[in-house]
Amino acid sequence: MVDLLFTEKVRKYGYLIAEGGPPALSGLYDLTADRLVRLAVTITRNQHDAEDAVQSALVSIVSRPLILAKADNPWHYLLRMVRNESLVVLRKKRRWTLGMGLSDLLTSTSVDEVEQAETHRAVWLALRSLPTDQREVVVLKIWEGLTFQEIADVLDCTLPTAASRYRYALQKLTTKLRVFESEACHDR
Amino acid sequence: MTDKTEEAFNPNEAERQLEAIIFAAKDYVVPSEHFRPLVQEAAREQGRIRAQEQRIGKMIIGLILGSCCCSLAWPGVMYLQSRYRPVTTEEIHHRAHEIKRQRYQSYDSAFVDAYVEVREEQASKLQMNSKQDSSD
Repeated sequence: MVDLLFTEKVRKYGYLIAEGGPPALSGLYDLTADRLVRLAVTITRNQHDAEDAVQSALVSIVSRPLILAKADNPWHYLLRMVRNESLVVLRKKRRWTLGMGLSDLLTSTSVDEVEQAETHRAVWLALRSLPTDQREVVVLKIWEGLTFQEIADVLDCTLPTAASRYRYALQKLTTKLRVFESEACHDR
Repeated sequence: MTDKTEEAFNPNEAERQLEAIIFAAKDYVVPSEHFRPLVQEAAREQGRIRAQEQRIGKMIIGLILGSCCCSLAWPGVMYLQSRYRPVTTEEIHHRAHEIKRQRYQSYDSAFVDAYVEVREEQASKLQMNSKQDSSD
């Protein structure tokens, strides 16, 4: 479901950047950075590359803020920008971090979530092992709450493609997380 | 079609649980601490570059407009220059030689005729100017 309020906030920051210049970017950063970095990390599979991609996208917004402000859906536009930048970074660097664990990622675990940290870690590891097109769909569907139609718009693919990628991704994630669960039980 | 696809993907209980587990892990990875100032600095730098480019662009447009104005005004300037330029004695001598050749006169009388022509020309310009001034 589209978060209209969030989308309108992004649009408002587009206009604020157009009026106030670079200093007004802070608001947009605070609103979107966590979510954008999360998407970029799932595509690039590397924290630094993800931050590079998000930085490029946000700096591009400073150059042409009205494009963001006047977009049909500014949040989707921003997601698409970050996705494209992430793919560019990915093509340039070709860092294959598959199987390297999550050591390059900056993770956050609050005290009351320590027990769940292992599960979160397993989820991210499992996500990393999926093909890029499936990872993107999972992130957009579950974390960004987009519909398949919106995902298809952002990823520039057809609606059935987005849906089938999601279906495949869930099947793979189920298997991978089951393996993790059985390993964890075995360790105990 | 959208609704149909959304409906077609009707997750079972296990898939719902999996979605919930994945959803809970969304805040596990966060941006690094130095990322915010880094983005702000990059944005400021980009802003500076953009302002500089705009200044250069305005200067180029100004130069183009200036040169267009000059090229348009050039014939007028040349006309005014020729109109108000004082006649030199060399030109009077040159005109005297021409009159001498054309009218088979002596050089002295040709020189007087040339001088009279110049005076008449100056007198007519003076009249035109005084008429323009009175009409203004």
